[in-house]
Amino acid sequence: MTTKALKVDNTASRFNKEDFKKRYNKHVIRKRSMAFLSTLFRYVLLITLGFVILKPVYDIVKQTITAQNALGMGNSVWIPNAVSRQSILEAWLILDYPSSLLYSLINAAVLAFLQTMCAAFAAYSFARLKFKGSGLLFGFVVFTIIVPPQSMMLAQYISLRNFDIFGIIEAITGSPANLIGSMWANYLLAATGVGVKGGLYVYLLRQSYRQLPVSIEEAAYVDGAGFLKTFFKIVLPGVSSTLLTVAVLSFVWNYSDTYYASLLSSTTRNLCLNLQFVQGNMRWAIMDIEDKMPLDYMISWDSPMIQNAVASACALLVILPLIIMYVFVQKRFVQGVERSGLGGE
Amino acid sequence: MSKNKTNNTASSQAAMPAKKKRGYAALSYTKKKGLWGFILLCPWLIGFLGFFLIPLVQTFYYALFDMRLANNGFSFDFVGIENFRYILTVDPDYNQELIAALQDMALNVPIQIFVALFLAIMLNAKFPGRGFFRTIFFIPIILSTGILTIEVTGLETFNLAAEETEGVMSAAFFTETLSNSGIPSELLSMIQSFVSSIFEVITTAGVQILIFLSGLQGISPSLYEVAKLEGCTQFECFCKITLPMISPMILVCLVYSLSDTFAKAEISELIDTTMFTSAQYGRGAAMSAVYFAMSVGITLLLTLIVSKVVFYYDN
Repeated sequence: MTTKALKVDNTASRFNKEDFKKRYNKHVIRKRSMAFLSTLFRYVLLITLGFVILKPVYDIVKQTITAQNALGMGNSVWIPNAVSRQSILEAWLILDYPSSLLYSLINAAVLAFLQTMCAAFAAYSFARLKFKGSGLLFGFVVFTIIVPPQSMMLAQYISLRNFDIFGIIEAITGSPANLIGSMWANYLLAATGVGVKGGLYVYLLRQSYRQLPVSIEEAAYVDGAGFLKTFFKIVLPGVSSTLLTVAVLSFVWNYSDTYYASLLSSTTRNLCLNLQFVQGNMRWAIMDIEDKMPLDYMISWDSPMIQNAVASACALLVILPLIIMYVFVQKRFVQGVERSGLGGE
Repeated sequence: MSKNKTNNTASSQAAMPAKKKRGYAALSYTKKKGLWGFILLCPWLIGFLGFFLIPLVQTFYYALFDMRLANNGFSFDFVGIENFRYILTVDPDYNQELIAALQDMALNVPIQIFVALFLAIMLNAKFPGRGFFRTIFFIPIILSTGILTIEVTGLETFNLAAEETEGVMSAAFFTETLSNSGIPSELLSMIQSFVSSIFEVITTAGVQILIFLSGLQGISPSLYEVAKLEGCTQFECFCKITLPMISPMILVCLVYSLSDTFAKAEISELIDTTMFTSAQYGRGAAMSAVYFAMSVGITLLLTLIVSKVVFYYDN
């Protein structure tokens, strides 16, 4: 409003020196130049660092869409010389994309849900519903974060291979259950908070529970809500931003986890496991799907350039759902920020 | 205190029906709280005991044995601390890897936390294109899992050669220019190592940025409004509001960064190969035991120190 009025004034008396001095005294100039410099600094920094992150992704996209006979040409460094769908078609067939994608996505979603719920319960217990020894147990949560999972590889494998609860299963079926080879072992670990980075989620959520004002929960309890009702209606919505963060992290890490997947439920239907395997055997992978490709493509597998391009296409297909999901979740993040800004507290 | 409360509820109940409360209803508030705390913790507790603590203890137990694959399972020969003596005094690689892991930690963790906090504050401010930049800076969370490191067997040598010529040329060019301009060589090598690690730092700082951002979002804007009305400068706002309010997240980031660097250290590979490739299960178990003792000790020590200065809004 005021700037507009000033601008109109400016055009009317352009050469009024007094007016000019009044409007552009040294405080105004200093303030404006500082603001300009900080904006410039922010954009330069963010754009530079953003480039560092995006360059490998761009390289993969470029490799994928470049026609295979144009690979490695000097004049297609930034923009491919010729574009073709061949690499991505081959990758699609190599990964058996639709069915593998469904399998991986569903598993990751189930694991993420189980992990988030388990962590939300445990973290609330640690943050608010303390009992004798919960301080010590929380020390163990930190402990589970620090210990690399590889350490217990052998012992975990053996215990899930011969899974039993105090001999009950053996008494019923005659032998301990073998959970290796199906997703049940992974689900079990996730639901009990041992899965991929399980301890971290408890830690994160506990910190954000503790930042909620305790008086709200007490008020809910005084007004007649039980502990569970207070938890689901008051506490969980209060930490929804952290809850979303945890769910997203859990989903992404379970989707791209190869350690537990290869140890407990190894299958080529798991996209990331298959990607790892295929990248080591690109030549044979391309040879394998030669018959399935449409006839109008020239298939070759000897050149490392082409192997690399198809490997890039595979990687792109694997990370594509994550990126798409991420774009949507990103909107929720921004919304969350704006809502809390409006509410003000 | 708790007795008092039970009396109160009992007397208020006595007015309505002439029945005494029993079981759950008779418990005091604190006791109910504790009970629900235990119930909610149960899933985690089962997992912790069954799939974490017992396997971990077994690992330490294995470290005392010379384990070999036998017809049905493993054969155990008790060797006492021989495995520990071997890895610490005879094994040529283990000590070096241990020190390398420590160096990595000392160098990377502070830089990671600083860069993450800095970027989170930048991304939290309001400016055009903020959503776009946030989307970009979280991509490393996906990247850091290693999907994008493409390793095609035939191409490795080819890529390596190309990278080397390119890398040496550019590095040599910059080093020459800078050393000609009179900068001391120690400082120069420090700058060089920092610049070359930018990519690594940024790609591993994704989670920390997320943690800090969620923390920053939790700070009530009214605090800043009050501070501005009272005449605080931007810098004072940062020191007196942002830092204390974000300090719990600094603790989280510290623990996360430490565990991340420790888990990714090359020593894990050494343990892996010792255990599963060379089938020296006992020795591998001893290696992991020593490594854990070190990493857990350092992390707990640092957590203790930092938690002294952490500020909680409610306490």
